[in-house]
Amino acid sequence: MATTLQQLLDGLTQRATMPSPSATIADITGSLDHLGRALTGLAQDGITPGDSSRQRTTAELGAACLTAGRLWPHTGGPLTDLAGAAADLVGRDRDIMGRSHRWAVTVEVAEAADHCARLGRHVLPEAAAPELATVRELAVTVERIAQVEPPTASAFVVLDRLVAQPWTPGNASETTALDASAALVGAIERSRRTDDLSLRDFRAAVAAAEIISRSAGAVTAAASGDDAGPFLVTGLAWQVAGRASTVFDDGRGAGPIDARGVVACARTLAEAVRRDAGHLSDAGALEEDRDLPSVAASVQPVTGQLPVLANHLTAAVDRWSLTGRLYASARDLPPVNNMPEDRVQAVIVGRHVQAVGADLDHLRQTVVRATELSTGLADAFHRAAVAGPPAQRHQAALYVREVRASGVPERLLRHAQAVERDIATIRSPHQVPWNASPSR
Amino acid sequence: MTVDAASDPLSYAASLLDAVGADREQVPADIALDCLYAAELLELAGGRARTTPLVDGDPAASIRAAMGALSLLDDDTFAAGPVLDAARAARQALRRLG
Repeated sequence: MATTLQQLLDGLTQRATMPSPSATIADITGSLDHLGRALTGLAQDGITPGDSSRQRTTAELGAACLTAGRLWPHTGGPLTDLAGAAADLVGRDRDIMGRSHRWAVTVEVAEAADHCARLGRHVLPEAAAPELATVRELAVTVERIAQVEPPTASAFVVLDRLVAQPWTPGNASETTALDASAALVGAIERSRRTDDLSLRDFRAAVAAAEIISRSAGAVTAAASGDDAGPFLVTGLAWQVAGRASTVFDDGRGAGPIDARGVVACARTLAEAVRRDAGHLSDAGALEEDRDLPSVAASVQPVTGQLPVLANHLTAAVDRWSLTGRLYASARDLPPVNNMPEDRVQAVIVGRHVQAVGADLDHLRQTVVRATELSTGLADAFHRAAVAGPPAQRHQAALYVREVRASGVPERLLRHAQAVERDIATIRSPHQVPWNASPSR
Repeated sequence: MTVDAASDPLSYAASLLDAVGADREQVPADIALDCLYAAELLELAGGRARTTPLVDGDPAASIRAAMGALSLLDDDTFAAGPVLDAARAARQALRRLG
């Protein structure tokens, strides 16, 4: 099952604070050793630009945890395993974390370290290991600093990043939607790191986003008892984004194909969502025999990941506008002011040209629109609360803030109206109709 | 189109399936995914997708043409994992398209 750093730390805290803990001292110190590794790495990468109490205390806490971690030989155990996995994740995400992220992670790791050290003090006689008392003092200092310099909501989101479990495309029928979602975001991140996200990858991810949005919209409508129409607009926005990509060609041609790449992950995710949520009616409603809480529980984390996926796709379009990787017929590109002579010639003869800068404005606009509507849908889904509180609570809190921000509701309404205008021109009999009736 | 079914069936089929997967004006998301996945697998098997128009502008006709091209492959090539999976994905797309 896919997991997050927050879930690992929560699991560690839960085990360390059980009423009748059964952990050995070697397991406890083993966990502190791993937490010390994580904190030391965070401090080395930098918590603040210069010297500060945050920076110093983080480094000192890391060192104290490492010292406590060497008190007993490592024999392993559940606390050690959870802390080890958490520390590995912190190390893995080093490249994507900024200072604000590192501070958010430090605060959560400090709390976990305090719980582990407190457990150690219960297991041992009070004077046996003063190193554990040092860990507690420094962990509490970190938490006290966090009271006056709290991490931002957007920084906390790094704790909610899904980490996929090892997965192969062949076992798609056994893959959960959550695992497939984590695998898809991971595959996109890998491709973007090497600047290798192809247009086919993009189209597959957009199609997956559309399928998730439609299912999430159907669940939200069924749970809230409201009309389905407004909740379906996000799926339609992704459809419009996919359509906007149609005019482009991938200039680079086929690169190395990854059997566990974006396309395979997107298809597996779509299959998993369809398996869990079932087929939607033409009006975008769930099948009547579907168990709503069960479907909602499956779709909830995937819906929470939708804005993450969407932000990657927006960034991909921005990147293409700089690199000129995509090509299109000059006639299909939006007109620009002071069109150069060679572009005028290309329009006249219908020649393909490299798409750069403003050439991708329309595609970008459709993706940004779908991205913001996805955040609104994720928030609406969480508010419907049919699946209980969200597992990725930092993400959910961020969506609430984003959607409630001044001017955003009006912007989402304008996005919805723009999607309605765009979708009205789709001509296929296979498409889901826009004039959706209420879900009830 | 610079490839034809007889000389390079893998590339021919990959090109058509990629084109169907890109045509979001006519093709719903789930079918587009099937086709993009099939194209990806055919490239994994050695094909090379190139920009191509749909057969008569028709997604179903294009998928059928791609499937026809795959049927030209020798038994060993067709039975290779990626090609067989691609053939199945294409068949599923055609069935969903109705």
